[in-house]
Amino acid sequence: MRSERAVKKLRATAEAAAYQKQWFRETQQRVESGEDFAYVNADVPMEILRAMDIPFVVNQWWAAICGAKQMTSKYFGLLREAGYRDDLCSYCATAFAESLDTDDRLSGPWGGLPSPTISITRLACDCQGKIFELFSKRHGAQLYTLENTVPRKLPLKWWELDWDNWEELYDTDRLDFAVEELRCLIRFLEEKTGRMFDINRLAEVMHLINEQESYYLKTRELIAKTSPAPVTVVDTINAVMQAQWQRGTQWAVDHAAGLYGEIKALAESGTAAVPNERYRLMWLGRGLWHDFAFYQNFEEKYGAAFVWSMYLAMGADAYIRNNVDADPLRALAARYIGMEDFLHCPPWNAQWFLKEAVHNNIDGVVYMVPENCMQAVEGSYFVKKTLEDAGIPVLIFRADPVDARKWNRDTMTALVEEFIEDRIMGGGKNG
Amino acid sequence: MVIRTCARSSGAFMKLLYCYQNRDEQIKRARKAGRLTVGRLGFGVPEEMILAAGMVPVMICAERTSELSRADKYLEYSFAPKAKAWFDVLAGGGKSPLPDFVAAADSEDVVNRIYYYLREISRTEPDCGIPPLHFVDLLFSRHMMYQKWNYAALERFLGQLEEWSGRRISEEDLRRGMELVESRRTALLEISALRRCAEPKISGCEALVIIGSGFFMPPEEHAALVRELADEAHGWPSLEGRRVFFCGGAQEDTAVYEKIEAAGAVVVSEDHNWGDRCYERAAAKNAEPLKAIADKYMLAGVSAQKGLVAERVEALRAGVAACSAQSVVFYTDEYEEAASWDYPSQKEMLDGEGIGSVCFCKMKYPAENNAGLDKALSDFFRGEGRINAK
Repeated sequence: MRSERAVKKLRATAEAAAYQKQWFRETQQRVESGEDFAYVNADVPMEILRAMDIPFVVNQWWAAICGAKQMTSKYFGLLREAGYRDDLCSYCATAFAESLDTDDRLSGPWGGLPSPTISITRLACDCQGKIFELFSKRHGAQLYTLENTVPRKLPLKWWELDWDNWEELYDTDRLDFAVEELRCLIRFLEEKTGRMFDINRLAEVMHLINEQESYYLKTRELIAKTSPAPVTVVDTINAVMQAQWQRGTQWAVDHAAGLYGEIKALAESGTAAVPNERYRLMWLGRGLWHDFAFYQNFEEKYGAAFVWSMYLAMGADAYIRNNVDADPLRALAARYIGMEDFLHCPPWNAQWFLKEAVHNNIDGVVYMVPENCMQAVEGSYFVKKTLEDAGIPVLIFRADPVDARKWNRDTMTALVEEFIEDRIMGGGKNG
Repeated sequence: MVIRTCARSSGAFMKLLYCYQNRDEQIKRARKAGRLTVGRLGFGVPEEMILAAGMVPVMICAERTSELSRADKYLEYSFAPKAKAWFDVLAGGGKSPLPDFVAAADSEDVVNRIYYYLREISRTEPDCGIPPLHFVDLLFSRHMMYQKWNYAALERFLGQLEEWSGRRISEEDLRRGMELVESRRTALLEISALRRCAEPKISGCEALVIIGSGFFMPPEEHAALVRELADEAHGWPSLEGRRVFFCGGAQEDTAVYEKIEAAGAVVVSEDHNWGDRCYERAAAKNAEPLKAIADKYMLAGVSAQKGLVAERVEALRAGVAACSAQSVVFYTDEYEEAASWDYPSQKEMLDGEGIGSVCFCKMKYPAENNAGLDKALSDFFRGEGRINAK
């Protein structure tokens, strides 16, 4: 039986959703009372804003909310009416498209996005700066951009270096440069908001983040070694992504601890998300925000459970930075400059996916490649080859994380079913 | 219009046309002369420095007839067709000889991706035949911090060129490289004047040949031929037709311009790298050479890929005014996406100025594959292009 809506089981998932609504309402109130408010891309070092208590919303999170609320068809229609193409950059352009909606306060998700006074993005592709600029203009926000440099050093196992040995992981001049970028960003925010940045507060934020991410590490390890898995990505993606954008707060730490505790209890009691689990699947790519139920389509029929997504695993491997107190800014630089590269730069992404696939005893990989995003062009050939050379079959398909217009669940379900039958049951590790 | 008899009767033009059409001969000539070649992937790779190293800069360009077998194997579908073709050439799928080395620069994001892929193939398939690679990590946001980063990036590139060429590159060498490029630039300014004047003497197609041939021949030879040609072209018949500014994707060949000009227009200027943009900015003569070169590339005219929308609007306003264009043709291939975000704001500006415009996006490459393009251009120049224009 296929459900139209995803069935989320965890208390932590529901709590995260509830908290988000409450937090968003409070943010709206802060903006209405005249506070500065920032809209930032996911790869922006938002820890600076957290330390300065500047309220902010993350672009990808908001796009996911709009996608989940089935708003994107309307928004991309507005883009088209305004003379823009409606088939580009859906993940990054959703909020700009929403800004064209004159009815947003009434029909937008949770009362619509409040008007930011600041918008910040990294120039990680040729379109992002332009989209944020157009968005800023619609809202009267001040645009701030950070540049993106290219890694020359490529130690294959980045996850063994990034917590402690980031000086070894990155080119020194890239790190120096990123620290300088952080200083410039701080100066901009101080002048814009009238708030002074406190390096000690940043250190506190960084410590809170380490604590939060260490729970994701424990959670990832628990899921990796527990079969059948106590949870699937339907719960972990939502629970982790929502809290990840609250990182640096005590709520996020407590939530991550609660998530771990809840999953641990499930594992200890032998409760499985998919009791008939036979095949463990890895989801590569962004969350399929407009159709989370899709992930559960293969559980009953095949015992195929999506147990892995990058959201939890990145929390486990990519965020922790030890010895923060020695130089909190440099530790933060060592976090944010790697995010794009870990996910989108071969061989870093392919090697990590392989490590994770082996660690989580993955039988097959379903890999969603976006149709219209250059930033997510990440060497899918190398990813597929690396995994398949290790005996793990990979299905690549095109789809969009937030734009449901081209999505056909039946067609996609048939595609994954064929993959499970032919490549996993027929010839994969358990075949 | 295409290329007229007067141009074909010019010895200078025909030499330029030969180099433009026989691009791979540049590498063959260099090999014969015992000189090393450096492929430039992206316009941010400073040719002055390659010349200073005594090496031959070679622009990486699409082979129109390539089957793209290597690109289809390694690249996702969302690479623009010309970018696919660049990759295919460098990954050994083309028919042209490969340069000895390749330098890539982030003048557009797709170059970064191609560099990542080539680097990974080189790492995992050591016998792949991809030339040694270097990334010139230039940044284009206009702030002092980025300028300083760029100076360091060129220091690294200098070191790489010294290693590749096996010789030390002096300040004098760099100044000589700059002089060669500057000499060509001033020659091309004469061509620009002949396009932008009240009665244009050089068509857009002819201009593409004149400018683009410079990527495939020694700069001193190119500059001399361009000057000779400019002298001759003063006596060529004036061109009639709607004055068009071309905005959008780089045109590595004349196919699209042929269609525009066949529809009754004259392309008098453009904002892409195979046209006026590639020589707009000079390197400062009095600055330290490396800094002058870095600034030249960083501060060149706002590109479709690196410029923000407001900058692109103002750049277009200025570009149109400088050549007294009466219409603007926007044209981008499929997956050349960045410029698409500029277009509505640029159109709004043009509408306000009373300048007609037409937009072709998601176009197929080569241009011949676009059914209906000729008619659409024709309709535009017969109709809206005239009605909206001043």
